[in-house]
Amino acid sequence: MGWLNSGIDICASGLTAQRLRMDVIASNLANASTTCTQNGGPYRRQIVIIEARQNPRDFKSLLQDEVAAFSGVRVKEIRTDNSPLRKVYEPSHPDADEEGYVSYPNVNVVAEMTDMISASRSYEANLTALNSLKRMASKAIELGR
Amino acid sequence: MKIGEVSNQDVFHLGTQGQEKRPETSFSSYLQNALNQVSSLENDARMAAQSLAAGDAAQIHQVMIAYEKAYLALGLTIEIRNKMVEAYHEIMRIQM
Repeated sequence: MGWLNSGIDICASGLTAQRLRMDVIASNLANASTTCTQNGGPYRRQIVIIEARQNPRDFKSLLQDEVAAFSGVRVKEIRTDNSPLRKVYEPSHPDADEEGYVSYPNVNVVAEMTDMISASRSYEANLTALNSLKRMASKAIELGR
Repeated sequence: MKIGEVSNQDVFHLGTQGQEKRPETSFSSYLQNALNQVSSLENDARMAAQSLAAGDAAQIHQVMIAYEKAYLALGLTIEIRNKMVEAYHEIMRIQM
């Protein structure tokens, strides 16, 4: 059912990717001042790496040399941001080091908020494309009436 | 070399070699196949809704997309059915 699946699945992959990005941003925001984790040390910012999805190419599409780009996106990996942590002088804090400094996560709340707006707008854009595809299909079906 | 029996089909093909080869699928099997696809789309939608309700990994948009796919496929099926019934009525209206 190519008429139904191709475009809609691309939009669905975009929705899933943006949804995951949103989850990761939410995790970053929630842990913006987490000073200890199970792995030890403060929380580190997580970044979502998104890549273009390659179609599994069958022999027929190779023969016809179809464009492999029409296949949506997927999340390649969730990487840890290793940029330096924020040091704050708080000698009374239980996680403070010998010199009295506490390492806070390398999460910038303002940057996370802009990322969140970007993810949410991107999600909406995918939804709009999906609705448009759906409307096109319904209009095509109306040809028969 | 092994000599196999000559099946009916081989003889049939020998006889019609000059003619154009007809497609193998009949209309009824084609229709059956299409209906099965529509039915499987509806099944997918039901399974997606079930896994969402059960708290599995399925996400809301996946369920809604599955339902939309099933809805569109059913709409196309209904239109085709209407066209077929219409054609049948046209033929029945022929005066003998």
